[in-house]
Amino acid sequence: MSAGTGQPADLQQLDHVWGPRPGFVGWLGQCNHKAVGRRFIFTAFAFLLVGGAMALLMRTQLAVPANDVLGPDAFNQLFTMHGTIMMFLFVVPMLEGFTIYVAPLSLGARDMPMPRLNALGYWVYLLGGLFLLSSFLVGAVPDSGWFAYVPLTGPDYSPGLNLDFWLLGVTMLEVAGIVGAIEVVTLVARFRAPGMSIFRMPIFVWSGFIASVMILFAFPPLVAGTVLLELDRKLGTVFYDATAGGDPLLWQHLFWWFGHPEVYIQLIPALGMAAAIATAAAGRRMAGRTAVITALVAIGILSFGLWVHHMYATGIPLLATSLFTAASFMIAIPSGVIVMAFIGTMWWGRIRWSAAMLYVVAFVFVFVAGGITGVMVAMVPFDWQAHDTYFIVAHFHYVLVGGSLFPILGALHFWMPKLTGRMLDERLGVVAFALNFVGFNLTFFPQHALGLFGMPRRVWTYQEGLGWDGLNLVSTAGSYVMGLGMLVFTLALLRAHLPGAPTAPDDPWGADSLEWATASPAPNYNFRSTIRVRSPEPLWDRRSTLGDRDGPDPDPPEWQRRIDTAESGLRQAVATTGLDARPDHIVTLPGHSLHPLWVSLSLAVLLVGVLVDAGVLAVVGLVGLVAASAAWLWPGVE
Amino acid sequence: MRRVVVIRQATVAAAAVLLAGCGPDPRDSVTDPASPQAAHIDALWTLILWLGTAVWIGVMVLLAVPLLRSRRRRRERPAAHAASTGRSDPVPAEATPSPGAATAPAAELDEPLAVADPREHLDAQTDQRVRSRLLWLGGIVVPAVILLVLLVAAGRVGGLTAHVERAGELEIEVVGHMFWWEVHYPELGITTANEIHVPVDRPVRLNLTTDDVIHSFWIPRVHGKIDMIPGRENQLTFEPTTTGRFRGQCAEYCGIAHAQMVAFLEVQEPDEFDAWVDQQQRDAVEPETESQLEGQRVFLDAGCAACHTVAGTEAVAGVGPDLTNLASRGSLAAGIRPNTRDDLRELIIDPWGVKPGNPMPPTILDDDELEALLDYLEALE
Repeated sequence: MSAGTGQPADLQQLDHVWGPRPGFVGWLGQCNHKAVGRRFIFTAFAFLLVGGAMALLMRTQLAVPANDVLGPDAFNQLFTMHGTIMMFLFVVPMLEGFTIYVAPLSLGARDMPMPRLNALGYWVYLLGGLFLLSSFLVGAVPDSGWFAYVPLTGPDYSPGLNLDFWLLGVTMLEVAGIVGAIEVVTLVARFRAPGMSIFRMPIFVWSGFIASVMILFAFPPLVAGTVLLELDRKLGTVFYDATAGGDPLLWQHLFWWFGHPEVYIQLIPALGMAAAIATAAAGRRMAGRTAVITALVAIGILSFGLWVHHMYATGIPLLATSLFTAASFMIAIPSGVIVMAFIGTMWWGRIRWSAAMLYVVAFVFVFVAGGITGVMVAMVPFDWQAHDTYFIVAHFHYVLVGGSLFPILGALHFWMPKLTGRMLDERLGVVAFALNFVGFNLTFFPQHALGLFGMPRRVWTYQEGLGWDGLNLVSTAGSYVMGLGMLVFTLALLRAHLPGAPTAPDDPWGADSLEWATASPAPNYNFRSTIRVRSPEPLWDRRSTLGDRDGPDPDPPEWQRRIDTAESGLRQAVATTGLDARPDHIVTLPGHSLHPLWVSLSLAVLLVGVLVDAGVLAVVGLVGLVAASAAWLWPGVE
Repeated sequence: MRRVVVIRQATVAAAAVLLAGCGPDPRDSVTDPASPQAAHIDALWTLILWLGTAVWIGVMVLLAVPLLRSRRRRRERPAAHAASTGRSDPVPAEATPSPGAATAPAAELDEPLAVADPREHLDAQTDQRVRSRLLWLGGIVVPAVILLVLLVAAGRVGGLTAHVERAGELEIEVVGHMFWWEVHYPELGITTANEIHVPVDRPVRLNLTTDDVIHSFWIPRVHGKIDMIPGRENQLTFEPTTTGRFRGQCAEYCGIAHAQMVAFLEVQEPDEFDAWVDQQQRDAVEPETESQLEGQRVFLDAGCAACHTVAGTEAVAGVGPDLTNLASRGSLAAGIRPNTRDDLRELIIDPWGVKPGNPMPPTILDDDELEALLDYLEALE
């Protein structure tokens, strides 16, 4: 391992150059993808627990008819925040966090192409999340549902600060999402290890790439929509006011143009995670690898043509809505291909069971059911009955828990060794899995029936004698079981990080992709030497040159020797060409920087100023924003 | 043994809870249609329920087979399994797959098939044909055929249930308010609230609008829901074929009391409906007793008349529901309470307790005034 140029002294130099600066300020100014990715993942996990606790409160209120645990105000705030937290603060940032941590390692890169932008994404996300949650402190919690339909959210019917918290907070989170997406797209386009052509990329990286491209197209319309609504609220414009020639349906179109792809933005990277877990567990390439990637791309494109299927009941003519039925059906085909590919992979592989793999099986089990109810509600006449009822609540929880949460929990098991160097306890993991799986189905399966029995969603109470009592009680009991499952999962997560817990080997799963070629947790410099990839499964093909495992390249070209020894004392990495990943040029990456933090803080001050109508504060924030951006971009600084 | 007992007890308990859940019949279910429109949708639901269940079971069988087989295989070949988990085993050079396409990235779409353990390479190659059949048949062909069938079914049911103008239909205007329903019969000159009376076997057309935010009108047993959107008018056409009192709730979240915005559809025999129309078309019953006269005075003076109408009196305001025939209705506060004297009293003195978020303010009256007011209101048939 220590032949050639890879002497321990070089390693020290490499580690020094790529490591964080010492002290608290150094910790604060970290921009490396591993630090940022870990922060995203653990922050998002904390928000998951917050959002889940809210769900338990709501289920407690609905356990029996005419319950009074919560009043209507509290309940309406909770379902609004539950949806908002799960969508904007948990799933998307969690998936971005995994992409940011894992993708550069899977691609054999040393860092993301724009590390400071990466850090900016995290700070804006964190502050946006805290901004939203701070509404609990001032008692003005958003309470109009996560899709915030006008005119209920307009100046006339929501005069308080509640909706301003939501609009400004969500706008910040959208900005964070767009920033992360730009980063991932650039990473995938130019930072793959030499030899990793576009078709050799792991499926998980493909999925993160597709979701990022989708974010770039889906999020800006919502930013536009929320800004228009904020203008209506703050400056008295009438974009959505029907009495003055505006149109409330404009909001719905803008929102669902974002909102529908958003569902798939939450699904696609999770599919990639499940694919990574299944490939490793089966010990062979995903069945129909190319078909799976093609199907992911197809879902990404088709998902932009479905938004009206959230609006069947608005009175849009049947012919128009029927076209969206056909479009919605079309997405079932690539989804079917993906499900079959998972089954095929399990069919011909020799599965090594782990808690992570159990979550993959649960994903197929639950997601297929959610997909089938999805086909049902894509049919216009049936949706007239099912729309806005608990049938829909059950449907999208089957899709999002099955298609997103379960793969994410599996991914935490799967990549935790690489993230922190600790294995999660398998026995606790299996117990948590069993509780989650049983609890989930017990919670949401009865809700299908509740919807058909006439129970609308978003009701804080219901009367006795409607035939809803028993099913609601079962559902609440199920939610407690799932809550217990998440508690056990959290305990497993904490226990693995107690002092003295066993450390993880480099490659505990016998997996195929490059992140497993380096130490656990991944060292600051990712790989000792530049990797050369020769197939889609570089750890299995025995032909690729792997930085750590095989020792450094004995006879590297001059540019590679300079990068691998970090003799210049700069963070240098090789950028490669877009399709076949030939070495193209050397880029120098920034390391420590506090500018992203200052920019995000200024943005937060600006938004608080707008929120409370304090012009001075807003101007201070704006000036800070301009100054911090200028300092960031000033040539030669940092 | 003890564990078995515990598991059995848990299973019995779970089954009991589930049975309790399924026990009482739902009051108003989509699957219990009372009009041809709802029946068509119910038929579509039956079709997709069975097809969907069949598809789900089919996929689960496909999923279960490999899982069971994989267990068996593992038992049969423990050596190979150990080799694939650990990496200590040096791999013989000849087992390495040929590096044929190594330099041509584009050619490496699916070949050569990569496996963690090179000794399983040949094994893996033999799966190729079945694998592609699984993807093609299971992933594309079978779903496409099913979806085409469903597309035709959805289109046909859509055509049968969508709004079309019909001869002889009864036209009713329903206006959504936070948080109640205003009901007009333009041809009959009737205004009422929250309870829609229609004759059986006659097409009904609802013209749906809103006075404030978006609501969604839904009576599950006669038709699907349709939104009430500011600046638009939506139509819903159905033909009730069963008499009865059908319940429905606002389906689009409309604010704090969204959960307590209930509508009833009262489908009556034609002669009963005619009698109801006759009753509703008259002005309010004149107060007769002294107490009722006092009650009317209270009604007009204490602020009630600022929001409510009682036809034939000075009360003509349109903010709250029309009370001309209040006593003829079966429910109060948009369908959440029965129309009894006690509930009415509670609604007048504590409207926010009955229905949090109710725009109606509490009315402060002494006991005599309150009882007189109730006497008056209870006489408004």
